[in-house]
Amino acid sequence: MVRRAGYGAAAGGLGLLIAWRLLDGTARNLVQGWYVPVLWVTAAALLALAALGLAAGFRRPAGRARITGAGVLTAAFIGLPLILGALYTPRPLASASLDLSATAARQFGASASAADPARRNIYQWAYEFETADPAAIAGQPVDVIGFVFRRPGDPPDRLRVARFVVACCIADAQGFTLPVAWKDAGALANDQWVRVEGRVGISPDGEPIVLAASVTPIEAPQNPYIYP
Amino acid sequence: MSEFTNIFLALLLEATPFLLAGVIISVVGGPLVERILATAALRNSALAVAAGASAGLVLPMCDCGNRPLAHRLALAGRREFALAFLVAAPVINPIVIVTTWLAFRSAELVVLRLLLTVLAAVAVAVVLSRLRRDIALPLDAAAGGESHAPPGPGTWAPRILDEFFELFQFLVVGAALAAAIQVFADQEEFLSARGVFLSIAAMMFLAFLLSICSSVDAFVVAGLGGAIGLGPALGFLVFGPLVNLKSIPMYLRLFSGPAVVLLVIICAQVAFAGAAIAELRAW
Repeated sequence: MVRRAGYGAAAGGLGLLIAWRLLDGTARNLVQGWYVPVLWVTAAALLALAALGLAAGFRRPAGRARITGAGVLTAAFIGLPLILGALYTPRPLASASLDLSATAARQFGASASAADPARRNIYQWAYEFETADPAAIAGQPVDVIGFVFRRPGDPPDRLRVARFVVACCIADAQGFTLPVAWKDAGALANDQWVRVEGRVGISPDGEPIVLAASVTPIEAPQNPYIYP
Repeated sequence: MSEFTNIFLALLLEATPFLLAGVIISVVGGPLVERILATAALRNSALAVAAGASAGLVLPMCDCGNRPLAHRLALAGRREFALAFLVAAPVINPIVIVTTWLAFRSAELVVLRLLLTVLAAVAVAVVLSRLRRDIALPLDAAAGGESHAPPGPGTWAPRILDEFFELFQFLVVGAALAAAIQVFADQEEFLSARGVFLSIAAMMFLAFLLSICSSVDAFVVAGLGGAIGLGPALGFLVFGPLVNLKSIPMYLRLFSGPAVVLLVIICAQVAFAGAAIAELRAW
C-alpha cells in the first residue's frame, strides 16, 4: 500500500508541477509550442491517475512498511525532478548558450526560406545572409526581434541579434544570429530583448549586415524560440 | 548548473508524455495485441518479425513510448514481434518519415534510413529470439507485486502508475546523463572527425550521447553543418533512436544484460556498415 500511495502522490506532484509550469508560461522555455497541449493532457492524466491510485492504495489494508535501499533510491530518483522543477524556474536559452563557431557551419531546413523580407525572422534572415548574393538582398527592409549578443572587444557600434530555433525541446536548440550596425550597441547588455528595424547593407569585408534605423528594447516574447 | 537543470527538465518534459502514453497503451491495449499475435498467421516467425518491424506505421511511438508494450509482449513470449517492434517503431512510423523528409528533402536518405532500421530490427529479432534465457525482466508490477486482482479496467490505474514509475526513475537517470553530456561535452569535436569511418563513428557516438527524440533528430542533423555527408548523417539517424544514453538505463530495467549488449552491438554494426556503404557509394 505504501508504494502505491507513494506512486499516487508522485503522480499528483508531477501532474501539478507540469500544470504549474504551463500556467506560469515557463514550460515554453523548455519545449516546442505544440508540446503545450500535449503537456496539458499529460498533467490531467497524471492527476486523474493520482486520484485513482491513491484511492486504490488507501482501500487496501495497511501492511507493515519496510524501508529498503532500493526504495530510498527509487524515491530519490522520482523526487529529484519534482524538487528541481519546483525550486528552479526554467529560463529561456540565452547568449551564454550561443556558439558562433557552430552556427557558422549550419544548414537550414525548408522553412528557412521566406520570400517576403518584411516577414522574415532571424532564422530566415540568417539563411539569406548565408546563401544569397549580398548585392541581391542589399536594401531589403529588416524587422526582427531577438536578444542581444555581444562579445568582449566587439566594436561599440556592432552587436548581434540572436534567436534559438527549437524543433522539439531545448536539447536540440540551435542558435542563429545576425550582425547589426547600431550606433549605441555598446550600451546594450547581453540577453536584452530588442526589436531591430533597418535595412540590409554590406559591411567593409563584403558580408551582409543589418544597418539598424532603430533598436528598441522590448519585453521577452511569450515564445522565446523559433519553431522550424 | 542552471543550463544542466534547464536541459534535464526539458528532456523529462519531452519524454514523459510519450512514456505515459506508452504505458497506458501497454496496460490497456496490450491484451488485445497479445490476442492478435496469438492468431495463426502471426505464430509464423517471419511474419511476426515483419509485423513487428512495420507495427510503428499504425502505432507511431518514439523510443520512450514503445518500450513498455515491447517489454510486455516479450514477457508474454512474443519475442520476434516484440524485438522487431522495439527496434523499428521509433523510426518506422509516419511522423519520423515526414520529419526526415522535411529536414533533408532527400528520398535517398529517407529510404536508406528506413531500410537500415528495418535491417537492424530484423537482425535483432532473429538473433535475440534464439537466446535460450529469458530476455525480458519482470517488473514488480508485472510479476504480481502488491496486486493480486485479475487484470481489468478496475486495476488499470494502479498498474499504469506502477509501471510508469518503475520506468520513470530510469528515464530520470538517462535524462540527467544526457543533460550532463550536452552541457559539458564539446559537439564540435565530433563534427571535426575526418575520414569516412571515423566521421560515421563520431556521429553515431554523438547521437548516443545527445539522446534526441527520433521524431525531430533529422532537423538536428540537418542543422549540424554542411560538411556532414550522407554516411555520417545516416549513422546518426539510424543508431541514435535505437541506442542512446537516455534509453540505456530503461533498457537495462526491462531486458536482461546479455540481451541489451547484443542489441547494442547488432544495431551499431548495422548502422555503421550501412552508413559506410552508403557513404562510399556516394563517393
